[in-house]
Amino acid sequence: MEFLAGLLYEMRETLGKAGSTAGLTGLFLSGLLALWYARARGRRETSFLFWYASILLLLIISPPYLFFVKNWAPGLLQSNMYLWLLPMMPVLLGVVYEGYKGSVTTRNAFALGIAFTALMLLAGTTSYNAESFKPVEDISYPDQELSEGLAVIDEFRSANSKESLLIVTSDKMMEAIRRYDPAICTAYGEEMWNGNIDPGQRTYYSDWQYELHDAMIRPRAKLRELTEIAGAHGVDLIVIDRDIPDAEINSDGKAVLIEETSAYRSGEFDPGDLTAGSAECIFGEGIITGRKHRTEKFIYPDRSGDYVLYETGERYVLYAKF
Amino acid sequence: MIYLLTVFLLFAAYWVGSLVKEAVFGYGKQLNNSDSDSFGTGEMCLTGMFALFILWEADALMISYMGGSFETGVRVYIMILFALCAISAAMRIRTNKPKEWYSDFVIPSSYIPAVIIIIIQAVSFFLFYPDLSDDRTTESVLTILYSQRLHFIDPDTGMTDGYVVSFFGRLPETDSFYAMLAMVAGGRDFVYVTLYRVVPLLMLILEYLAYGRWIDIICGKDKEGRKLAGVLYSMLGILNICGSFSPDGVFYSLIHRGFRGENLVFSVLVPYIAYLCYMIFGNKKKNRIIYLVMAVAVLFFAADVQRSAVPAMAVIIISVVASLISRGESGTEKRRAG
Repeated sequence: MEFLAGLLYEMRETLGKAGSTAGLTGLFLSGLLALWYARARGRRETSFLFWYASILLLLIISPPYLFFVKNWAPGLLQSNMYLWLLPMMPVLLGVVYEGYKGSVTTRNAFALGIAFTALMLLAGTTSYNAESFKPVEDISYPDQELSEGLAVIDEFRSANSKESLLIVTSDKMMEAIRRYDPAICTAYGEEMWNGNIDPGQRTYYSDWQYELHDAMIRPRAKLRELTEIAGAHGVDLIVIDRDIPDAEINSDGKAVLIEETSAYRSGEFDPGDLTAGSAECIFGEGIITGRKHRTEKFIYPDRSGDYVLYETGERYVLYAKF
Repeated sequence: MIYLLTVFLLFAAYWVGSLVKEAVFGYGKQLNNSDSDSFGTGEMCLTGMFALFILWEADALMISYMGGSFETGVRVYIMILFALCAISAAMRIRTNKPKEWYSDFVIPSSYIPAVIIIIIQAVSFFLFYPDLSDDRTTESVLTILYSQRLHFIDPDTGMTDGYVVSFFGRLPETDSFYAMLAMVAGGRDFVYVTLYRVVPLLMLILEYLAYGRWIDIICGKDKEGRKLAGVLYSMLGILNICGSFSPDGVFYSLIHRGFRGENLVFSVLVPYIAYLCYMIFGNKKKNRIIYLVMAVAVLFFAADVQRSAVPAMAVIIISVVASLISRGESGTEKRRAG
């Protein structure tokens, strides 16, 4: 009994996924009934559609198909609902046609029109999501929410005359960057957090990329580790979203351990001497909180080893390789 | 002007489709347009588009395996395309006077509501943001245009390290086809407009052409049938619009994900393949087998095997079985009547 109950549950789930919404499933099944009725009138094309829809329905909910899909083609489960598109369309059109032929009075035609409109609205709106109605402001920006971050990276590139950069940042920003400019490379790709989308293409990552991705989950808390790994593998820019909360505070209550810059260690300058147009350095055991001035242009000195903070917009913080 | 790219493609598809039709049905053979089984302009554009996809697939595979420049491949493709169109036009001139070609492009007045709905759907591409989740089409197209190579740089990272593409991974070439369109349009600056507006509009029209085969069968080609066909085309458009509000729904894909390869499979190829199977096995129109082969070839162009060939094979099997059953039923009825 348990096995049977489980099987029925799976079949119902598959039917639900195939129909995608209760409205569409209802539409399909009612259309199937209409085709069965129309088939009796002897039209061969209606007979074909009836048998097509029936076999498709039986196939989708049959245990062997479920077994095949679960084990060998899990991606097909999502595509099932698209297979319904074909029989559903001629079914609906066939329903309209049969109704049109059978509507000898205005009242019948009116009733058919209302019923059909209600069914279509049910099919279309039972899973309404406001995300599907996001008006586009600028089609060239892949994601409007990330436009500030992309603009800041662009500003850095043009100020330093660099077309190509290797960047590490949040997952969402990494996706947006690749859709924005192919010249900007990312230390790892969407496959790292989303899994493989296309079975014909794969990217095999190294250990340092996985470590970098782990560090980017809490970047402000793991900034030292992040800069060490990134610096060893030629990452030009680390972009951190301020909205990511600090997760780890050490026992002294200090925020983040940052590598002392060589310039600071050598005593070449005092942070108090910083003026607009120069970079701010992070040192010691905390971030300088009293020196947040906006830089008007970025400096990219020819040194290696350390990362330097370029404080930028309201939301994004850039750490560029020193 | 970039939006005229759709018109250019359909026009080229019409000429190439005409050439294929001459090869399939015989050179110069006039088909009876009053017969619902005939081969009209819509089907010619649809099959011509398939031929364009297959031609690009061959070109892209050559670029991919020979390591050639993408730009060179695009130039070769465009040259071949123009040559085919010229040959097709020359052959048509010998069989029809050019002024008779006009009738191929006449839209019945009963279709005007459907045309208005198509325009409304096309306008929606300007208003709503595309759904880019779980998709790398934009990255692929940009990377191809930037690197001028195919399957060389990982679109996700922009680097070559660790990036491996199998033979089956090289088959789906919708990304490179769109990159070709963007290059023809003017380059990288036109990628977003090409992907999010031009391509979905093309897929929308191909969807209407594919379902139009079923509408022709249901309605017939007489005057009354054409009126009903106009209504049914409009219903198709309304269903698409209703579904575009619903991300979980089947009709959402065309409006918000029109650039994805699986959209070509499910919105265009699946209904047309089922139609071909019905014609071949249900109505014994054997000459359409060539079009079935072409449609199956386009499946591999459109998406990976799991998302294209597997569901399409299921459709073919179901269609064949349904055709044979319905043919058996009508045979039984005829015997009883006789």
